[in-house]
Amino acid sequence: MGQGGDGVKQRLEGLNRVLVAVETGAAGGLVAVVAGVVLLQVLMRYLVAQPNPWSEEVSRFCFIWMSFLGASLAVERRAHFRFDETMRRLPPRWRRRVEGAAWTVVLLFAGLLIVSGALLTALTMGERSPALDLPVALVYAAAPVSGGLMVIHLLAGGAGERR
Amino acid sequence: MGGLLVGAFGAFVLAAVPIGFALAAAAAIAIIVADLPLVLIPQQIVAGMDSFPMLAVPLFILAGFIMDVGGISRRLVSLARALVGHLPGGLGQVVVLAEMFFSGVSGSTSADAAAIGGIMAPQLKANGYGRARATAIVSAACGMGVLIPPAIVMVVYGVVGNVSIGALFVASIPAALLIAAGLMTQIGWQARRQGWPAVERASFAELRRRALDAVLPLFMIVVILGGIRFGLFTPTEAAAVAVAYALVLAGPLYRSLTWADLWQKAIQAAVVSGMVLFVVGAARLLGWVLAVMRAPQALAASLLELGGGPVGFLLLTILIFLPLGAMLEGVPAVVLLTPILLPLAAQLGVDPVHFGVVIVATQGISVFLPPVGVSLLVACSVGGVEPAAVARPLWPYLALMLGLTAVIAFLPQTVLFLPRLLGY
Repeated sequence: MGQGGDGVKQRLEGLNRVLVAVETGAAGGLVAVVAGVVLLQVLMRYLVAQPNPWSEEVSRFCFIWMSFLGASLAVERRAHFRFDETMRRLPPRWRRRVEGAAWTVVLLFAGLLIVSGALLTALTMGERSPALDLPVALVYAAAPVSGGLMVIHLLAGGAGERR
Repeated sequence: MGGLLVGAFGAFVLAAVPIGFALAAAAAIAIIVADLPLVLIPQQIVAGMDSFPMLAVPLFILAGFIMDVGGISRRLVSLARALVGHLPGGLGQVVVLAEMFFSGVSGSTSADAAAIGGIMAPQLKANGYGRARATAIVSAACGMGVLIPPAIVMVVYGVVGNVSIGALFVASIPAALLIAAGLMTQIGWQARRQGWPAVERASFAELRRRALDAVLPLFMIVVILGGIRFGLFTPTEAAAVAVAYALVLAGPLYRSLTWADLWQKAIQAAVVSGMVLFVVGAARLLGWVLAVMRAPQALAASLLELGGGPVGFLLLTILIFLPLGAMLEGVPAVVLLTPILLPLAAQLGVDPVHFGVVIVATQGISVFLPPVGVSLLVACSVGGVEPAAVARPLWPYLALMLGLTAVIAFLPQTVLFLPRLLGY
């Protein structure tokens, strides 16, 4: 690849670093919010003897975002559970090909998640959640965002080129 | 169509596509081929994640992580050593007991293998146990430990199968005690025959000191189980209370947790939960597609035709779970199979709590199954030994655990008496 390709690659890597930092901060923060809100729910029930009307919905919504961001971070860290015993027994040349194919499947599905997730988000703009009266689309938006992050992580890391 | 789906999933798994993506991509192919709406994909994945009880997963994971950096695993091992170190096969017994304690504060098998293996493998080696023997004992103990609540697999089974998580937690305890007693007897017998060393009996003063050191960490499981049983909080709330409890212990009390540690553990908990929940969502998507094709009904009909009654069905379940759990990890196997097998079990009159305990016990064995069990690989990397070498000393332990799991499958009362006694 020529000079132009390297420049694109470098910019992609830079973008990826920024996104990973934001994503990591958001995921860790959401874990803290989920733990805090659920704990608050228990405390309010016993201390103030008053159930908290919004805590279940807030914690569930944060949990869904946390799960999707955790899933895309796990793509960046190549941490997802997988069965790599067959692959590791292949000769090196074939191993690289199979590894490349495996991450291509991940890449394609992540792309599909962007498209289908965006469609679903657009479709649910009008629906509102019962307790908080928030657009349900805000929750579904986690899917395309996560798909987009996965695609960038894979392209910046060079899908399948690692290890 | 069903063949295409299962074929695509199998090919993806063998080609090392991560399990969650293999599930989701196979389902996506079926959706595209059948010209169903694409929005089903994110909708079903979110539906799989979106349940309040499922929130217990990241919270129990976080509580376990905090307990581990807080130096609590070391306290638990010291207590176990003072209690059973002098028995025949002393340090081997310590591993089993320490894992029983540690499992009560942590929710994940691979984390147990790393924590207990990390502390015990060097001690075992220093006392003349070979690397392979040491890793085999750690693996067997952790395979049993999955039955000690809280466990992520039990939460996932409870949510997917709509079974009381509190009852599952309680019913697993007798199963864990039975298998642990079996393992400790076996280790003692091997030790007497082969002359393994024991360590010196701890003095009463030392035993008391170790017990005091460990009493607060061990009390956490009492808070969790008691709080759920007496309706003080739900399992999810119990998990948040466990996080707070672990924070107080590791932070102000033991002063072994820094803010930086805590932040790293929160991120790690998000990533591990993301891995688990993505699989749960993807399995729900695939399950939905299969249901549209009426595949579960077809499979159910052919499984019922095999006959054999409840016991035959439970044995078949064990046989299905062993290879799947070894290849897929416990959570994916449970999410995928529970919706298909649990209705059949109910139809045959198997109690869903009993069925869950059998599945969880089998899953504990399967993840350590040589040569590919995922948690076995973790234990091997901690122990610095090849899976092939561990297989020989490990097989007798796994065979015993499998035999005891079959006993639990034959005799539901061995586990069900406890939840019934406690009024679940």
